[in-house]
Amino acid sequence: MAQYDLIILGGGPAGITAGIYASRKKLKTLLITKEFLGQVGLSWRIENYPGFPKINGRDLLKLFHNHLVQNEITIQNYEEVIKIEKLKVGFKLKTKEKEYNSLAIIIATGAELKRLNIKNEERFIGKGISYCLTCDEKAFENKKVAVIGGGNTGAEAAISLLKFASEIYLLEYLDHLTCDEILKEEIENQSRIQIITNAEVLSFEGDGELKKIVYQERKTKKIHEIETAGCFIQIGVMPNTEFVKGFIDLNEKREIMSNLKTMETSHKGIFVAGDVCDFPFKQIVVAVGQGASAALSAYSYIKELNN
Amino acid sequence: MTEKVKIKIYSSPDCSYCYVVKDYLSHQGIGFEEIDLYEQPEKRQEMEEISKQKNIPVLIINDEIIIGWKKEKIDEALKKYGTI
Repeated sequence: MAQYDLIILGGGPAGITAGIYASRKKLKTLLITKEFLGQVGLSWRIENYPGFPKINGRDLLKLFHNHLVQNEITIQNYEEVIKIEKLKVGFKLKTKEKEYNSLAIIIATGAELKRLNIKNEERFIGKGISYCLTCDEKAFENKKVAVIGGGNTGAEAAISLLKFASEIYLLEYLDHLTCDEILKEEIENQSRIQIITNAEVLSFEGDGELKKIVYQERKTKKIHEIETAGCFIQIGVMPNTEFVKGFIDLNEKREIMSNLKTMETSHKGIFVAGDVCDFPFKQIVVAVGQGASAALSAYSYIKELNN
Repeated sequence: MTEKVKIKIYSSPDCSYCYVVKDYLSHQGIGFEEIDLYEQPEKRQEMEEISKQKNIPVLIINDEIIIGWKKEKIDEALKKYGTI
């Protein structure tokens, strides 16, 4: 069985940065990832990563990946870890295909897009409902489209849809949009985007295809309907932690609890970085910083173990 | 014995999951026909009729239709036709 100093799980900004730092410390490192994508790869426009005033998420990720592969590191792409076991020294990791041993682990498995889990959501996926803006926005040329979620991702989706859709509704559960002020300003200046706050979406309606979104105005309790051909659901993310449930301490959001100074988890020798950890700000630049911290902490841990 | 496998993907250049599906097939050394819906918008209707929905990527492996990036389903179909 292959033995490594460090195994990194995840191919987003946190995992890739950890890989670069670990390989420069000459740790025998393996990076295992389901795919090189992450939330960053789904983003059509990033404007807050230093050095890149405006860049597409997939292009930024490609630059990260190109940097990673210039280092001495083993990569297992398209593999997913399903179980971690503690050994006397180090850990055994099982994927569906293979098993690997390592002295330390960095978990940077990121997060998946959340679903609303409301009436008819499943039924209209692909028939009006999509979670991937970059994939499906062009399907709604000259049509009315809704975006659910007033955070940065939802706001950016609404702005991007201006290229194709005739009219855009941006629905937010809270009484205000939670996106950056600069995005809020951009949206408020667009006559084709209608902001609807305090909206609790109740169901999707239609026949073969999506025709209407039904929501309740949370203050007045009045039920409203919006006629729309499409809906992008952008209501945040759920951490990918199912495979460590019961093995590492998670918080109520199922995020991995971490010591933010060392990025160590409740399990000695296992570190965490990026959207999967309990740090509240889910940003690329934060994930990158945490990836570096986790790799440097893992290096110190391994060095101590070897002495 | 390996059956003859015909693989086709409906994609667009901005579509992140399309990129992953295409990269996965290439990673497996599997060739495919790509229909770029930006270059051939008239093919969208054909894609919607075949897959009975609008989202992409749509991957067709002989008679199997896989919508989105679903590695397990892709592997199942490729195994069925002896491609992997």
